[in-house]
Amino acid sequence: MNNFIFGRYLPGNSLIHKMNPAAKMLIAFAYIIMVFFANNLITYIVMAATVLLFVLLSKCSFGYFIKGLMPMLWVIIFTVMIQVFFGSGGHVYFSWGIVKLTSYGILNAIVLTIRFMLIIAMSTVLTLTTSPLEISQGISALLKPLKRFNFPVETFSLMISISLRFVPTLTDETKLIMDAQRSRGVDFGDGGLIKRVKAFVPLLIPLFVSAFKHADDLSIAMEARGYQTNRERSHFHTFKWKPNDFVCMLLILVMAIVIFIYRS
Amino acid sequence: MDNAILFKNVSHVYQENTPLEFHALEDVSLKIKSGAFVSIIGKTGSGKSTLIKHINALLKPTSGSVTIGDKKITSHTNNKHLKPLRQKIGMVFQFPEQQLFAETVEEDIAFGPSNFGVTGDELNDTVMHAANLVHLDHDLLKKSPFDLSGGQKRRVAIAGVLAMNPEILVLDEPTAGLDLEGQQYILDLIRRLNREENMTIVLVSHQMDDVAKYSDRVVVMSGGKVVKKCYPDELFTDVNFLNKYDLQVPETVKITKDLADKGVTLDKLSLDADELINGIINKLRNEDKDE
Repeated sequence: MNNFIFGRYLPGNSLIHKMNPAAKMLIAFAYIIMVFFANNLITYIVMAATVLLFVLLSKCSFGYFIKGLMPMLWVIIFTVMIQVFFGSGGHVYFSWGIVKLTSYGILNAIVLTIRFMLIIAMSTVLTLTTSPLEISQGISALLKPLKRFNFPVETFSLMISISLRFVPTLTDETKLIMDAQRSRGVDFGDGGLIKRVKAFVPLLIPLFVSAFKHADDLSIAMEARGYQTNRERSHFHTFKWKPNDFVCMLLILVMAIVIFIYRS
Repeated sequence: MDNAILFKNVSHVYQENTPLEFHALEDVSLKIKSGAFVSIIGKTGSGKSTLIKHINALLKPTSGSVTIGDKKITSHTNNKHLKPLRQKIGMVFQFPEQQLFAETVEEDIAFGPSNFGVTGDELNDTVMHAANLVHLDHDLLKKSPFDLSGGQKRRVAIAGVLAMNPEILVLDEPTAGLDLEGQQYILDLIRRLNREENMTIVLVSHQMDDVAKYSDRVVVMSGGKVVKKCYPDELFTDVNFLNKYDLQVPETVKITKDLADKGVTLDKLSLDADELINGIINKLRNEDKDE
């Protein structure tokens, strides 16, 4: 689990780190949508150049992006394999039963790989440079307009930040309980499927118990400090919109226009 | 006596080759004889927990080797075939009641031994024996572990570890969060296991009074290194050393020192409260005689 870089925050002081999290999320979201509009060599080059620019600006070493790809590698390989062997259309190179190797299939596989890599790279930029707390504040800033429709924005964003806040706590507890049960002779990840599933019972039950206990304690602590639902809360860190944010968003807009012009 | 645990130049690095790289252990060498009662002390983050996780190969050394009995663990050791090793070592982690999960206390205690292939009557006997060791009421065996009190839960968790019939018992702050009576109970239990069942005990503790009273040997850790290995009386008389590493001075040592400052020197340093009281009484008697 220690190698799971995808989704980990790296503290830093780069231009991207200092951006408004809401702007970063908008950019990442727009970029991911644009990935699906790109459909020829020029547009993909533009997309790749854009993400490369963000990677360079974030000042995070390339190693992290390579490592970020690793956990997704099997998903990519699996989807590519399906495309290659079961895709249809175009020139047929090889056919055996339902397995067919066609030119369209291969082309689709290549396109899919590129899309995967672009999306992962962009979301890795976002997660490497934005702490979970900032992400939750970004979400709440983006959801603010929904308040008009009586959507409980404050509650929702608190929910998100609490869940994010407890991910490391629960991860630590999972490790501790795994260690304890391993010491009592449990082999996680050994034996047949049923044996493996069974091995998780002594892990999951204590974990649930402790999660409920955390929830209980937290709700009491929050009430004791005067928390009320759906009241406007102020934040210790507030994010202002700075010129950088607009420049970067403009960049994505330009990229989008270029892609719409050159896509075939 | 032969060595139960042998650490040879053990280093452990978490998340090697990342900016988050952390050297938790550096060149630790340590010998623990079988049947000994060894305490490991040091500040939070000094590497105690990392050290004890090497004893049953939950962690493997980044470099160096750990030898338990005749099993040698290095960074290349395969994760398979560790079961015989794990069976020999009972690990009681901090707040061990967190690991309880079964429907009844009995089932939870039986979980460890049944994982190591104990079945039928033998399993029953093992569970009973473990429950007796921690003085657990037999009425409680059919109850849900979640209905018990904090102290009882901890005893059940420890019984679950003892049921594996380990040769070495490793405990990470077993008394944390218990009331005074509960603490005393657990410590007396550990001493009993050491003396009567001849278990090797490795105790991690912040309670210097307990360390002073119970252990044969003390290992002091700081910044991932072992800075001192010695007898308890040797350590606790060196107040400068204790202050340097932010370790508490046991009450018994404080009282002895206060008395000495007032001109009353006792014959010897006692680390056990009862012994100290006897020492003071004897001193008073002798003075009466002198007058």
